[in-house]
Amino acid sequence: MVLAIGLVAWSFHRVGWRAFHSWQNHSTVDKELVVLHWSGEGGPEEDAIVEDSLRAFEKLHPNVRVRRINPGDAGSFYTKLQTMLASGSPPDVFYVGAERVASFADMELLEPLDPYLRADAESRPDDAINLDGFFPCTVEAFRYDGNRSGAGALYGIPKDFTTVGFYYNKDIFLRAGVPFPKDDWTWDDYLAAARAIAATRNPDGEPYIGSEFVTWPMMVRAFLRTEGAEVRGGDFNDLRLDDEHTVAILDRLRAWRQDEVNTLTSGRSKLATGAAVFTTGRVGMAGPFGRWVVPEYRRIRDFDWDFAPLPRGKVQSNVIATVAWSVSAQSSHKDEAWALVRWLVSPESQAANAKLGLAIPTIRSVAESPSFLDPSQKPANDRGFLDSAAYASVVDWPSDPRFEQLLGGNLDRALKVGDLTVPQSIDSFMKQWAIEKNSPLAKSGFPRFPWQPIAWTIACCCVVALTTFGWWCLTSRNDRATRDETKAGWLLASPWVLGFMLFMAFPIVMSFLLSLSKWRGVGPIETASFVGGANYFQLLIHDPRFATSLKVTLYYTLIAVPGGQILALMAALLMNQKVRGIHFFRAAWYLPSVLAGVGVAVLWRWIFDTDGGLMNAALRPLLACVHLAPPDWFGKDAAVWGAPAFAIMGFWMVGGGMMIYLAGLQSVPEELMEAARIDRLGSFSRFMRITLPMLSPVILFNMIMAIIGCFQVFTQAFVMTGGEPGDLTRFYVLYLYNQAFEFYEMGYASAMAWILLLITLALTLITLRGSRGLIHYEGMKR
Amino acid sequence: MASIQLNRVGKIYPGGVHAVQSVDLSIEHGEFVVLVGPSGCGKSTLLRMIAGLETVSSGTLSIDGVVMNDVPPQDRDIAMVFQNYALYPHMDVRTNMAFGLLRRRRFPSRLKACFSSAYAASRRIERSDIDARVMAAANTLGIESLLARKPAALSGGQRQRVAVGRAIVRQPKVFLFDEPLSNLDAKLRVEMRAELRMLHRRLGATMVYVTHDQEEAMSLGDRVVVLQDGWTQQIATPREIYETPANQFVAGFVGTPTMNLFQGTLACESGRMVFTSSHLRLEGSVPSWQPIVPSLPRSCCLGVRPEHVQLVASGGTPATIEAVEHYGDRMDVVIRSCGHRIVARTGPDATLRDGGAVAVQFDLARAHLFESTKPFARLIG
Repeated sequence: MVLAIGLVAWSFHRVGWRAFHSWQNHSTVDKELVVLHWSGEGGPEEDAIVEDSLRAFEKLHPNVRVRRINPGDAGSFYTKLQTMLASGSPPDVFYVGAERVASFADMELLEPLDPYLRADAESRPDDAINLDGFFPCTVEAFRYDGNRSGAGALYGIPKDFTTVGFYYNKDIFLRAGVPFPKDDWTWDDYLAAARAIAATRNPDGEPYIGSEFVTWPMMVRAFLRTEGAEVRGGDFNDLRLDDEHTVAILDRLRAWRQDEVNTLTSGRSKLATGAAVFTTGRVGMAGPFGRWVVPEYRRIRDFDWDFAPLPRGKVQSNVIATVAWSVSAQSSHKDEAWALVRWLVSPESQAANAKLGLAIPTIRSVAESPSFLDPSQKPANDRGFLDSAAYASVVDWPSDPRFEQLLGGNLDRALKVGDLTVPQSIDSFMKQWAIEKNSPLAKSGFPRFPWQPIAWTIACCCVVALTTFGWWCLTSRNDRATRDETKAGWLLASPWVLGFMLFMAFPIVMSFLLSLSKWRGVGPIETASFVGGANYFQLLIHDPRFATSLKVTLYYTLIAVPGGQILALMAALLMNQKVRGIHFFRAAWYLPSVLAGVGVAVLWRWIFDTDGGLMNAALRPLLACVHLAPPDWFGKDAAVWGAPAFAIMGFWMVGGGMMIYLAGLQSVPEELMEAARIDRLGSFSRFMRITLPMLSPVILFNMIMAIIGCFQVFTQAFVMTGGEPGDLTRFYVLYLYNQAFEFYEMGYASAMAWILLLITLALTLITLRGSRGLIHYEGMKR
Repeated sequence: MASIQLNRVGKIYPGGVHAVQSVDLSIEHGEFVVLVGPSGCGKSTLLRMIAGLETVSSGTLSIDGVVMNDVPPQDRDIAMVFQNYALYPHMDVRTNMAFGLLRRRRFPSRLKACFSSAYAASRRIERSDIDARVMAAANTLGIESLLARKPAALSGGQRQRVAVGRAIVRQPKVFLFDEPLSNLDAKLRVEMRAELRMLHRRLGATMVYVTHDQEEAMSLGDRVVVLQDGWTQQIATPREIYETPANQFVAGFVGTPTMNLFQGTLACESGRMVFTSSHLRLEGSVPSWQPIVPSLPRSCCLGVRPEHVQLVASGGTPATIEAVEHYGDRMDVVIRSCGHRIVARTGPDATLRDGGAVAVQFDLARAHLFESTKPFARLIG
C-alpha cells in the first residue's frame, strides 16, 4: 500500500516537474516546430541521426525548439500524420514519399516551396539550397502541377533517393558458373543467369531458385520502361495497359514466373523481401529493390553479395523512390520550418545520413563523396546506383492511391497467382478502375454535412431522454428506500455510464453519421460533405472488392470456427487430465494467446514461407509420399490456401477458447460421468452423450465469440500479406483499414463498419436460432 | 440377483491415505446390506469399489464368484443411486430411465435399420420392451406423470424416485445406494425408507446401501456393517448390533440417544458386582458377569442404554435433572449424578422439570461391559 502510494506520488512529481520544466523553457523559447518522420529500415541509427541533426539546428536557432515524433515505419507514419491532420495539429515539417505528393498536394496539405527558394537565393546566396546540385530526377519527383508529376510547384526538398536493380548472391553465381552481372547487362543476360542457377543444385541436392522478382506496380512499370512501354499517354485518362506491346511484355514476365520451374519465384509479401530472401541461401538474385535493403543485407553473416542495376531491354531505364522533407501548409511557423528543411537537406546532414547505406544522398557532390561511396562496405557496386540515376525517372501514379493498389492486385493475379491471364487481369483492373472513377462518390459538389442541426437534434433528444428518465425515476418509486437504492445504484454505476457515453456511445453515433458522409479524414471534420446513403449504395451494389473481402472472410470463418473450436475442445479435454505438472501444460497452451499480435504474425510469415518455411519443410516429405507438393500459401495457391493459412495460424491460439472449455468441463459433475459409466457407456459415448450436451452452452458462447472474432481478423493479414496477392487475403477489416487509412475515405470505411456490425449481428442471431434445441442450459442450473 | 464377496479388500489413495483396511464381507443373494459409519470411515469408498468407480488396492472383490477387481463399471451389471441423484440434466425423465438400456446398441444401428427390415423389427420390439420396463418402474414409484419432464423441473423427492427408477429399469445384478436419502427432508426420508424396504422385498435384489445415519441403517438393513477409520467394527443384523455391540465404538454409534458409557473399575465384593466410577457406585448381582469374575478387579467400561436407566422417586443414586426432551410418547431426560452426565429414557411424566431432583437406578442385568483399553472389545455376551 505504502509502496503504491509512494509510486503514484513519485510519478506525479515527475510529471509535474517535467511540465514545469517545459513551461519554463517555453518562456525562453518563442517557437516550437513539430517534426514527423519514420525510420523503418534505418532503425535506431537513423532515428539517432535525425535527432542529432535536430539538436544541432536548435543550437543554431536558440529561439526555436523542435519536437520530434517518430511513429516507426512508413505505415505507422502515415497513420500518425493522418490523425494529426484530422485533429487540426499537423506537424510543421514531415517526410513525404514521392508517391504521395500528388494526393497530399490535392488535399492542400503541402506548402509550395519555390517562393522560399527564390527568397533564399536573394537574401542568403551562401547557404541557399541549390537545386542544380541535386540529381534532377529527385527534384522532379516532388513537382506537381495538379495533373501530373514532374512539373509545376515544388512540394518538398528530396532528402535521399534510390534507384533499383538486382542484388545477387556471388557464391551461387560462382557455383552455377555464371559470370557476375555487369552494369550494362540485358534482360536476356538476367534470364540466362536465372535459368543457369535454377538448373544448379546446392550441396544438399536441393535446386536453387534463379531470382526473386517482386511485382509491385512500381517495379512492373520499371520493367515495362526498359522495354520501351509506358502505361499511360499524356495523362492517366489515357491508359495504355491493354496495348498489345505492353501485354506481350507482361506476358513474358508471367511466363518466366509461371511456366518455368525455379527460374523466378512466385510472389512474396512485402515483409519477406528483406533479408529473408537471401537467408534461405537458395535464391540467386532478388529485386528489383532499391537501396533500402542494404543495411539488412550487411547484417547477414557469411553472405557475399553485390548489386547490379536494372537490366536493359530495348532502352536503358530505371525508376527512383525518394522521400522529401515538406512543410505543412497549415504550419504557423513556416519560415522557421523552411529553415529547418534547409538544414535537414544540407550537405552535412545528407553526409551523416549517407553512412547508413540506406539511401543515396540527393546532392550529387555528397553522393560522389566517400560518405556514400564507401569501399569498405558492401555493396562494392555503389556506383551502379548513381549511374542509373542519369536515366532514371520517378514513377508517377494518379493522385488516387487506389490506382496503385488495384493495378498491383490485379496484375498479381496473372504474375503471382497465375489464375488469370495477363489480358484478363488488365481487363479486370480497367473495369475496377472505371468503377472507382465513375463512382458517384468520386464526384464533388455534395452539400456540406449539416453538423450543427444534427448536433442540436442529438443534444435535444439526450435532454428529453434524460428528463423523462429522471422524471420516471422520481415518480414511479414512491417508496423512499427504493428511491435511495436507485440513486446509489446510478451513482455507483456512473463512472461506467460516463465512460460508455464518452468512449463508446459517442464514437458509435459519430461513425454512423460519418457513414452518411464523405470525409477524407485528413482535414477537420467540418470539411465532411453529406452523401446520404451513397456509401452504402456504392458498397453493396458496385464495389467488387467489398464482395471479395466478404468472401475471403467467410471462407476463413468457415474453416477457422469449426476447426478452432474442435481443437480448443480437444486441448481442453487433454488439459482436464489429472497428470503431474498439468498446471504447467495449461499455462503453456494458453501462452500463445497472450503474445503480441504483430510479432506472432511476423513469426508465422516465416513459418508459411514457401521455400524456407517450417510448415512446408514439415509437409514436403509427408506430401511427397502421395506425389504432391506443399502449397505456395500466399503465392500461387493463395486462392485456396491463403485464408486457410490464417486459420491454421489461428489454431495456434486456441488457448483462450480452451480455457473456457476447461472451465466448462470442470463444471460437469463427476457423478454424471460415473453414472454414465455405470449405465454402460464407453468413453466416446460418454463424451458424445453427456459431456457435449452439458458443454453445449459453452460451445455456443465460444462459437459466437469466434465468429465475431473471425470477422474482425486484421493484424495477421495486415502484417503477413497486406491482403495480397490480388485481393485473395484481403479480409473485410483489412479492406476497411485500406479505405480509411490508405485511400482516406473515412465515410466509406464507417459505412463498412456498420455493415460489418449488421453482418455479425445477423450471423449471431442465425447461430442462436439455429442452435435451439441443441443447447442444454439445464446443466448450468444448480 | 447376485452375491458379493469381499476378501481382505483394502484401498490406499495416492496420497498414502488408507481409506479401507482389509474388509472381509460376504453378501448373499437378495440381501440388503447397509454400510454405516461416521464420515471418512471408508463406507463410500467401499461401495465405489464394488461399483468399479474406485480401483481395489489389495484383496479381491468378486460378484457371483467372478473376480471383478479389473472389470470396468460398465461390465459389472450393477446400478447405482447417487447422493445427488446424478440425473442427466439434458434428458427428460423417460430418457434418463431408459438411458442405460438404450446405450446397449451400437452407433451404426440406425444405418443398419435402414437396410435390414428384420433388424428394424427387432429394434422396434426392443424399443417397446424398454418402454414397457420404464412404465413398469414408473408405476412402481408413482412417477408416471413426470416422464416428460426434465430433472430441473422435479422436486428433491421426485428426483430421488427417478434415480431409483433408473436403477430398477436396468434390472441389474446388484443395486448400490450411496447415501441416497441424505438430501431429503426428515419426513420424506422416513417415507422413502419404507418404500425402499418394500422395493427390496418386491424385487428381491441384492442391495448395498451406504449411510451415515445409524437409524436408517438399522431400519433398512438385513445386515449392517459398521465401519470406522476403514476397519469393519461389526457385521451383524440390526438387532445384534443394538443388543450386543461388539465394542465401545459400535455401542456409542448405534442408538439414539447414545448409550451412557462410564469408565471405571469393576470388582467382586462378597459375591456382588461393584462398579465404581469416580463417585458413582453401582452394585448388583449379575449372574451373566460370572465368567469374568476371575479377572476382577479390573478397569473397564460400563455401558447402559438410556431405556435401561430408571428414574425413581427414591431409593437410587440421587441426581439433578439438567434437561428434559419431550417426544409425546416418551421423554429423554438428561441428568447429572455423581459428576456424570447421564441420559435416561422414560415414559411421559409431567412431574419431571429442569433442575428438579430425582433418583436414578441402572438395570445392570442389561448393561454392557467393554475393555477400557484398545480394542475396547465387549467383555461378555
